[in-house]
Amino acid sequence: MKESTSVPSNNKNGRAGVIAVTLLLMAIAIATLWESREFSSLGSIFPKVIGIALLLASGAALVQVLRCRSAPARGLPASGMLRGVLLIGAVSAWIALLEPLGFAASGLICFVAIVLVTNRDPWTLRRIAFYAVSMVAIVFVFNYVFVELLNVTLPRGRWQ
Amino acid sequence: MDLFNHFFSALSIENVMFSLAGVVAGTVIGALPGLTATMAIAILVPFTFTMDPASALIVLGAIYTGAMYGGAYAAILLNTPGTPSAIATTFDGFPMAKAGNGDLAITLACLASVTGGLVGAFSLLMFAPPLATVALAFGPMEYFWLSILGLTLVAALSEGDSTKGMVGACLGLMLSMIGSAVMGGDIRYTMGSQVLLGGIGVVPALIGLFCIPVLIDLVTSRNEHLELRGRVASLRLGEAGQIVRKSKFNLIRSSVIGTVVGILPGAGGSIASLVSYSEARRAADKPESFGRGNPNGIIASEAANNATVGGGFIPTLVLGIPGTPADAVVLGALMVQGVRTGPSLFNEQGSIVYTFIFGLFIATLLMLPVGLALGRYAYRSIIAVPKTLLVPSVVFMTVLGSYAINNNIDDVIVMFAVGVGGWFLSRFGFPPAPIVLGLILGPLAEQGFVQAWMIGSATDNRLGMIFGRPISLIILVLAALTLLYPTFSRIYHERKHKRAVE
Repeated sequence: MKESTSVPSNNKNGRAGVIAVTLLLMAIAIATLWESREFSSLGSIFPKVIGIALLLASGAALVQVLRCRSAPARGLPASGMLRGVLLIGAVSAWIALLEPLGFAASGLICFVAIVLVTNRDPWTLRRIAFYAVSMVAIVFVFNYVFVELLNVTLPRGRWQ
Repeated sequence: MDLFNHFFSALSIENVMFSLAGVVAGTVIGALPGLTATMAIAILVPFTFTMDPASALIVLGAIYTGAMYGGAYAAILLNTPGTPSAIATTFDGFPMAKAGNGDLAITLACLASVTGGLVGAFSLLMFAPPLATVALAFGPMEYFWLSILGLTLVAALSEGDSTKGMVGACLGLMLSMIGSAVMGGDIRYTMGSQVLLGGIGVVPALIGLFCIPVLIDLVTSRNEHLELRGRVASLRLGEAGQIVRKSKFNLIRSSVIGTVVGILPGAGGSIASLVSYSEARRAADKPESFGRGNPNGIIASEAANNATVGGGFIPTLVLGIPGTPADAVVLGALMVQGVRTGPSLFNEQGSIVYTFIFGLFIATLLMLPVGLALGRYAYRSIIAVPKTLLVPSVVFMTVLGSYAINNNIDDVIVMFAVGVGGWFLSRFGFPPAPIVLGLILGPLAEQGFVQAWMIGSATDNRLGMIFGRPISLIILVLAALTLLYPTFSRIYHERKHKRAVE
C-alpha cells in the first residue's frame, strides 16, 4: 500500500509555533476562568473545571515542547502557503457575498475563484470547457436539489 | 402465528418498495455533509402523512437506517462525517481511503452497518419492554460517566501525543460551553456576538474541523486527494467478508453497545460509535494501529451507529421517550398518524408495531445491495474527479450543508472559522478529533455533572452520588480500563520480551 506523501512542512517554525499556540491556549484558559466569575453558581461549575483542565493540559504541553519531548509538529507549509491563504480568502468572500448576491451567483463566482487557486495544470481549451460545464452543473443541480426537493430556503440575493 | 402475519404484511410489494425508496433517499441524504439522519427524516416525514401508519413507520425507519449508513461515504472518502454518527468512521476510514483501500472501507462499513442494524432490530423485536427499563435506571451521574468513557478515546485520537489530545479535548469542551448554558441558562463566552449566541453547533463544527483542514492541505500540496491502487475492479466483498468474519466479536460487541446506547434517551449514534470504537481499540491486540487505517475501527463505528436505530426505537415505542433526536421526529410523525406510544402499544396496536419491526429488518437487508452499489459508484466518482474540481465542489457542499442546518448563515461562519482554526492547530500537532469529541460530549458531561452535584449537595452525599452508584461504577471501571489498559499491556509485553531475551 502506498501512502500519499504529506504536505511539505516547515519544521523550523513547528516548535516555535507549538510554543505560541500553547501560550495562547493558556491565555484562553485564564480568560475562561476570569469570565466564569460572572456566571451563576450552576453555570460556572463546568467552566471552572474545564478552564483549570485546559490550563494544566496546555502547561503540560508547553513543558513537553520546551524539554523537546513533544512529537514534532509539521508547522505551516513551506510551499503553497499562498494558495492556502487565497483559498481562505475566497471562501470568506463567498460567505460575505452569500446573502447580497444570492446562493447561485455567489456560488458560481467563488467556484471560479477556487478553481483558479487550486489548479496547477496547464490551461487548455478542453480543460476550461470541462471545468466550466461541471461547475455550472454542480451549482445548479445542488441548488435545485436543496431548494426544490429538500425545501431548504437558500439566499436569493438582495436584488430579487 | 400472528408474527408470521405481520412478517408477510411487511413483505408486501408496496412496503418493500417503500423500504427501498427510503433506504436510497436516506443513504443519499446522509452522504451529504451537514444533512444528518434527523434532517433526512424531518425533510421526508410530510410524505408519510397520507400513508397508513405501518407503511409510514417502515419508510421512516428505512430513511433513518439509510442515512446512518450514508454518513460513512463522506467520512471515508472526504474525511468529513456525512452525519455526526459517522465521526468515528473517519478515524480509520479516511486513512484506508488514502492508502488506496476506500472501496474495501466502504464495503466493510456496509457489512457492519447491516449487521448492527439487524442486531438493533432484533433487540427491538425481542427485548423492547425489559430493555426500556434499563434506560430509566440511568441518572445524571451515569450520563456523566458515559461521556467520560467517550472522552477516554482521546488517548486513541491524539496521534502519539496524548497531552496535545487532552488540550484538544479541553478546547472542545470549552467550545461546547459557548452560548446558553445547559444548566443555569447563563449566556457564556459569546463576546457579545450574535453569531455565537446559539452556541457552536456540533454539525457545522464537525464539517469545519474535518473538512476545511483537508481542503487547505490539498490546495497547498501537489498530491492528489486519494491514491488509486490499481483498477477499481470489484467491491472487494470477499476480502471484506473475511475481515468481518475475523472481527465477529468486535462486530457483535459494537452492535450491542450501539443498541444499549441507542436506548438511552439523548445519547445517540455519535456517542454509540465513539464508545464502541473506544472498546474495540481497548480490546485490540495492537491498539496503536487504530487511527491509521485499522478495519476494526470502521466495523466498530458503523455497527454501533446503525444499531442505535433499533435501540432508539425501544424507549420511543415503549415509553414514548425518544432515544435519539431522529426518534423524536419519528415520535412526532406517529402522533400525527394517531399512534399512541407507551407500554400498551405492543398489545393495543401490535399489528402496526410488529409490521414496522419486520419492515425495519427488510430495510436493513435492502441496505446491503443498495449500499454496496452506491458505495462503489461514490468511490469511483471521487477517484475520477480531478483535484481542481474536487476542492471547490467539496467547499460548495460544506457551505451548502452548513447553511441548510438552520437556514442560517451563522452556521456557515462558525463552520469555516472553526475549520480554519482546526487547520492551524493541526499543523502544530493538535489533532481535530479530540476537539470534536469534547464538543459532542460537553453538554452531556456538563448536564450530568452539575445535576449530580446538585443532588449530592442536597442529600449531603456528593461522593456517594459520584462514585457510589452501581451502573456508574461499571462505566467508571470501563473508562479506567480504556485509559490504562494500553499502558499495562505495553509494560507486560515489554517485560515478557525482556524475559524471553534473557
